[in-house]
Amino acid sequence: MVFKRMLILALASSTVALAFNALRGEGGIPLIAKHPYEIFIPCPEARVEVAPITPDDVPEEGVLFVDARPQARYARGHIPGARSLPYDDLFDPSPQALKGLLAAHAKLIVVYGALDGALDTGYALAMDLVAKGVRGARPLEGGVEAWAASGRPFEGHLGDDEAAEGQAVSP
Amino acid sequence: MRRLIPALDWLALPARVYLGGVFLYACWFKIIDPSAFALSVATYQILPLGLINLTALLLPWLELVVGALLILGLWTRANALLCAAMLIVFIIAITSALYFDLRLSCGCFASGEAAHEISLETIWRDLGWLALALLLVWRGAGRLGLDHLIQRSPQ
Repeated sequence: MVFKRMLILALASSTVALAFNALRGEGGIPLIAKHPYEIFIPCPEARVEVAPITPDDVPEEGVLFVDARPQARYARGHIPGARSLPYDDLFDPSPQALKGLLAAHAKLIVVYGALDGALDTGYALAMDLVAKGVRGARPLEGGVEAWAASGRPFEGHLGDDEAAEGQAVSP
Repeated sequence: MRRLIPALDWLALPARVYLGGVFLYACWFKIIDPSAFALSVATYQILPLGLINLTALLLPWLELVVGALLILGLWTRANALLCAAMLIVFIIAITSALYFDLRLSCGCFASGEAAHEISLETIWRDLGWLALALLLVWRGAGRLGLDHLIQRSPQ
């Protein structure tokens, strides 16, 4: 008797379900999907948490700086002693680069970048590094601009050099 | 044990109302927005494409019927068995997703962003509900339910 009742319940609810779907018009969905669903599952790497550090909180000693900006901008100017490790949203940092950072035995690794659209590359690289086991990595809040603005040392040129160079070249 | 079993019968009412409430609450967003729920079903990557929409359409209404009748205490054993069967399916789905390391929201009570990410706790929670459902399969609706009234009324 129990199984007969289960069957009745299943059939009744299915009938109501299909009728409701047919009657609701636009709000309904086809019984069989025509196109595969686009499934979005966030990458595990993107889920680590990093704690940003303000320029004023960065101690004078024992800090390793990592420059997440493109190589060319690093060449124009960077925080003294910083290593260049350009952020790439397609590729993780290379194992050699990670080994190099770990070998420095720095208690604090401050990662700074530039705003690439809405993305702070320093923040993104710091998350990549923490996900890869470089635990001391923290993004610099406000990037290198905030660093320079708060009067901390910087070697070379900062800012939108490309625009400046473009102006210099054009007549 | 002999003293315990009548006590279990009195436990049937809160168990029914609670479990029925859970299922009624769970079916709501799925019935309102079937396409969002279909996406949740697809995310588990268990069913073939041809069965995803059908599942997304039929499941919530079964939850609705089972939830409502559990609260009323009508056909309690059949409903509790359906409820247990659904919970077993959910537990298998969540276990498989955890096994394949799919970090997804469970789609249990809400879709997409608002939903909780699945974890071992989700499985423990469902196992708890499964135990309640099996208790109802075993003991029936207890004294305060339509099943009991129907049985008592002289035909």
